[in-house]
Amino acid sequence: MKAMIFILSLVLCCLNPLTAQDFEYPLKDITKVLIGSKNSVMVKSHDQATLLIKELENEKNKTPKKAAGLKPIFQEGEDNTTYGVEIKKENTELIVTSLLNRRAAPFVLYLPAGIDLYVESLTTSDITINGFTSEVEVKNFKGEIILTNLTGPIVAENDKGNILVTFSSLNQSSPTSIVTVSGDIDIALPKDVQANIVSKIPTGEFYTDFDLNQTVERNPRTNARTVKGTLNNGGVELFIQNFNGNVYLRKLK
Amino acid sequence: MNCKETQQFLVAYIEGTLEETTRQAVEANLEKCDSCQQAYRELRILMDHMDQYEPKLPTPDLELNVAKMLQKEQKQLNGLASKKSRNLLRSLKPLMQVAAIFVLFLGGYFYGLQHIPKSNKAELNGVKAQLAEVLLESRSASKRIQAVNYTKELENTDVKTLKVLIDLMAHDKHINVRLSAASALAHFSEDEIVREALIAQLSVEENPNMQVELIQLLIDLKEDRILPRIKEMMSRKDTPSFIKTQIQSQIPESKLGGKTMDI
Repeated sequence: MKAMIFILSLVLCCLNPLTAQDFEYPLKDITKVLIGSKNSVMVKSHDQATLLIKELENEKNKTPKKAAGLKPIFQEGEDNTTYGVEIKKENTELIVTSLLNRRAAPFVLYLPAGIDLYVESLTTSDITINGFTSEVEVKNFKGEIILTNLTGPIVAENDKGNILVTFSSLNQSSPTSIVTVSGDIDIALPKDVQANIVSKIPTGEFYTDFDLNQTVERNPRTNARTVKGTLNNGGVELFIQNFNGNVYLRKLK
Repeated sequence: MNCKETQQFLVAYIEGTLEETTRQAVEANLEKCDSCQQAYRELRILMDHMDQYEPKLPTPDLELNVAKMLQKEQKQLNGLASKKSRNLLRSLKPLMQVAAIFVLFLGGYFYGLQHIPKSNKAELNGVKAQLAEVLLESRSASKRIQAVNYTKELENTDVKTLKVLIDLMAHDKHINVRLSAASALAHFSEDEIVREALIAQLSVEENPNMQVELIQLLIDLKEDRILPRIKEMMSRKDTPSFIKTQIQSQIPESKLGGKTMDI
C-alpha cells in the first residue's frame, strides 16, 4: 500500500508541470515587446525564447474558478491569456496590455534577456525590470521606476516618482537618457564604466563618488545648472535630467 | 521596389529586422541588380566589422580608414562634415552605420565604384535627408537621441532635417528625445523657422522639463517674443511653484512687469 501511495504521488509530481496553468507564448520573429499596464508590472528575464506568465506569481489576477464558463469583459481589449492580459502581434513587435485595474496585484512576466522592451504605466503603479541586455524604454507617471541588472541603452521617463537604476555594464552603442520631474534619480554603475555624463538639475543637486572629470565649457549657459564630465576617459552619453530633485551617481558595490 | 529603396533597407535587411514582405522585395531586387548586390556586399563587410568592433578599443585600421574617408570628404565638401567627426569615431556601432550609409551613398566616390560628381552638394543634401530618415525615424528612442546628437555635429543642415528635429522636439513619445531635439535645435537658432518653432512650442508646452529647457534656450537667444507666454505662466494658478521660482531666477523682474507674482 505504501509503495502504491509513493508511486501515485510520484506520478502526480511528474504530472504537475503539465497541469500548471502557466501561460507561454513563443517569440519567434519578435524583436520588441511593448507592455502597457495600469497595475504595477514586473518584467524579469529568463533563458527561454518565450513570454511566460507564471500562475504562481500571478495567481491573484487569474480568472477565478467561479467564473468558469464565463468570459471576462474588458474595455481596452480581450483577455487572451486568462490572466487579464491581452497579447497582440504586430509585425515584429508584441503588444502586451494588462487589462486589470491599477489596484490589482502586480503583473509579473518573463521575457528573453535580449529582447527590446517598452514598458508604460501611466498611473500610480510601479515598474520593475530586472536582468536585460537589450534596449529598455520606460515611461511612468507617478509610481517608481526600478531597473536592476541592465546594460542599457535605457530611455526612462517619470513624472512624479523616483528612477532607480543599477547597470551591470553600460552599452556603448547609443545614448542612455533618464528624466524625471520630481523625485530622486539614483544610478549605480560599475566603477570602470566609460561614459560622458550630462546632467541638468535646475533646482536639485548632483552627488557622486565617481572621479568625474568635469568638462569646462567655453560659453556656459546662464542659469542652466548643468553638470558635464567624463567617467574613465569618456564613452557613450549618459543624460540625466531631474527638474525638482537630486541626482545620485554611485559606484556599483 | 527600386534600387534606391532597396539600398535604404539594406542595414535593416542585414540586421534581420525587416518585415517579411519588405525582406522578400529587397531579396528580389538584390537578385536582379548588380550594383545593389555590390552595395550589399560592402555593407555586409562593414557591418561584420562593426559586430567585432569593441568601442573601448577601436582597431587602428578601422579608425584610420574611416578617419581618412571623413577627412577626404571634409576637404571635398568645404567642411560640411564637422571637425568634431573624429570624436564620433570613438563610437559606437549605429554611428558606424551612419558612416556606412555615407560610404554607401558617397561610397562610390571613395571606392571608385560609382560616379558621384565632386562637390555635388545637392547630392549630399540628399544623403543627409537619407540619414534623417534612417536614424531620426528609428523605432528605438535611444537611436533617435543618437541621431539628434549627431545633427549637432553638423555645421549646417537642410530644411528637411530641421523639420524632422522640430517634429521630434514637439511630438516625440519620449520626453528624453524631445529634450535632446530642443537642445540640438539651439545649434541652428539663426534659422527663423527654428526660433518660431521653439516659441510656438513654449506656448503649448505642458511638461515642466521642456518648459524650462525652452525658456532657457530662448532667453539665451535673447528672444523677447516669449514674454507674453511667460507672464501667462506666472499668473496661472496651476503652474507649479517650482516652475515660477525657476522662471524668476531666469528673467529679471522688470521684464516680467508687475509685482503681483503669486508664488
